[in-house]
Amino acid sequence: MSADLVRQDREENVTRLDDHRSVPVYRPDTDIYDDGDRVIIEADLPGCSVDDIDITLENGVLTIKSQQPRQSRSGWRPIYTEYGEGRFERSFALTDDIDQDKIDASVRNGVLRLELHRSESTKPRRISISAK
Amino acid sequence: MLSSFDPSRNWDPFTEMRWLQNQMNQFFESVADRSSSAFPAVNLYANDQGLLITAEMPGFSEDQVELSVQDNELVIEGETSETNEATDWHRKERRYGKFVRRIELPFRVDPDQVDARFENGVLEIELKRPEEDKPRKIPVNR
Repeated sequence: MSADLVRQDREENVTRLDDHRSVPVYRPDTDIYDDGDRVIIEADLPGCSVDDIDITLENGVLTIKSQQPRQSRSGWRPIYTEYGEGRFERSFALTDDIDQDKIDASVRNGVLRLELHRSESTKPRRISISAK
Repeated sequence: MLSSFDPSRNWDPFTEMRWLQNQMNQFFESVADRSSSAFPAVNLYANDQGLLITAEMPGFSEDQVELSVQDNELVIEGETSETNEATDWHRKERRYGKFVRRIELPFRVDPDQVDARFENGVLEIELKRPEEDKPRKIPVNR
């Protein structure tokens, strides 16, 4: 009777490790600064290329996500491990003064750089004081 | 518990506060030390031919890193400088500055056969064992 619980189709009954293994998710170290006109976000995504990174903007929340970089370490056995490899993910709430249609993104040496432009109407304006 | 409360003894709440503060400081210092001492973080892999060392160094390029190998020690050193035009910081988590990392290797390597490459901010260093050190298969005679 108990044998009925096991499916007889060998292929169907194989647990595929690749499909079920949960991938660790890391929060990338990030610098955020202002250069006057723009807000710059620089996030460390080591191992990631342009194709691995997804950037989405939804309801004023900017989310960066990366796929786990594919690395071929076949033929090598790990003997010492200080860092884990996995996905990266982090979200940022944008303030109202950011122009959501004007966000530039680029990747260089595993660092994602986002340039968020301020909308024209909210840029600080210098108000001159006229001397009497 | 109640019997230990003796109002005649000089119980100073500040002494206890200071003790707690000290404990907290030590705790945070030890955490900070650990994270700052190990840059870059490395992983080591091995096979019969040699070693593969990978290091996460986002933002670095080839010309900012120097490698040297002597006997069974690998030294990775370099420097990055801030090249931004920040007028106001909101968050600063990434690392800048000088670093030196010495890594003891599990076996001798041939210093003339070092192959290092950077890919998307990950440094990969492949080191070969000297020919005479490589493991050999010993056939078992019948």
